Amino acid sequence: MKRLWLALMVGLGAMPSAFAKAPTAKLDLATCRAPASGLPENLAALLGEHAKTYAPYAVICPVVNSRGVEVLKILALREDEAAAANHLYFIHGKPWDGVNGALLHDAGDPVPNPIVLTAGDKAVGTLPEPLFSDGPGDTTISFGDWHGDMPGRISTRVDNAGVLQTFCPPPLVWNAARGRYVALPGEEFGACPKQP
Amino acid sequence: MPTPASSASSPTSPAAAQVPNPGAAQNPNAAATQSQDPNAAKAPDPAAVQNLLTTAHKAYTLFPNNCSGSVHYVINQLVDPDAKYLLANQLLASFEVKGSGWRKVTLEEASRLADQGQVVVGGLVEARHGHVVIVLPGKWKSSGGYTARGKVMPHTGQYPLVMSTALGDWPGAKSDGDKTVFDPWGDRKTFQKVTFWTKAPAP
Repeated sequence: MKRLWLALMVGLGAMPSAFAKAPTAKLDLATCRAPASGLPENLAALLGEHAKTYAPYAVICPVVNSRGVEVLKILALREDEAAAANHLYFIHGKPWDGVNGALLHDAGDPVPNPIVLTAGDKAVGTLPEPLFSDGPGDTTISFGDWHGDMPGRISTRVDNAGVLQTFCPPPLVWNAARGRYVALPGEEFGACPKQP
Repeated sequence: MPTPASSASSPTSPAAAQVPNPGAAQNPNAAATQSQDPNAAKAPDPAAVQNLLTTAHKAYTLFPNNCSGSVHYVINQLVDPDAKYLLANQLLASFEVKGSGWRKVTLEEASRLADQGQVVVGGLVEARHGHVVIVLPGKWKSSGGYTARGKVMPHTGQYPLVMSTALGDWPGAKSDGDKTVFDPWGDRKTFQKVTFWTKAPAP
């Protein structure tokens, strides 16, 4: 009996590290911070044509593995704050007047989505939805299918998204040949997989 | 029930006959487009406009929880009495079929056509049901301003009014002309993907 207990205890003792190798982590938006000394030029360039306007609203969100080591980062815009300051929307390169919504619908410049960076600041993917939208919707980003210290899959779920309610765009999966995360085929406003 | 949309077209507040689009007046691009568009100069037909408002209001009351039902009612009454009932995703897919007679228009044109009493359907395909609406004539108003989940939705510019019904509890998707075409989706990025369709002849 003692041997059985001993074996059980050893087995349980080994479990945390075994599970720790394959965690599914959720991005904690509370950890997103504006870069202390401003957005470096190489990262600002990733924000596209209106980088100068967007840079003050850029934040970096760390993605850590089970050991607390930062393995990826997400470069995102505080779209809510930029929109409130009238700094988010452009029409053919010029600031939107904040009035003509049809013009924004028909000819608005795209706003960059969050960018997945390696710890060394190499862009390796783009998330399909903003993290800090100025509209309804609570975005959750999950990291799964860990291979060693790196997630092989990045999933997005948006809850309370107006009339769309809840949707899940196709997840991003690591494509070794392309050296980046690539979206699986699927509907942009797709149904979410059932929770296990 | 009187609605902002129906009162907007009343003789005391002839918004549908006024410049319906304050944004376009401030926008050189839109003004240029309008000046090249023969429809822009076309005077609105008050009877057609009133008919669209009345029919949309009736659709709203008949199908308060069914967007495809309310939109089908309007199409059936004003565009095609033989139109088959289709769910939102199917309806939007049917517009894309060559020879359907429906054509995609910008939101600017959608509003202009609605101001002439023409039926314009807006919508977005989504995995489960999608959502469709009817663009209404009248003066544009600011989006947002209503409370949803304890938060007052922000203004994101001015848009045409909308008739929208829905099964879910999102207040932005329930509009008898008191909200805008933006409000069912309530998010700029999503709304940019909403398409607008009409069977009205191209200019």
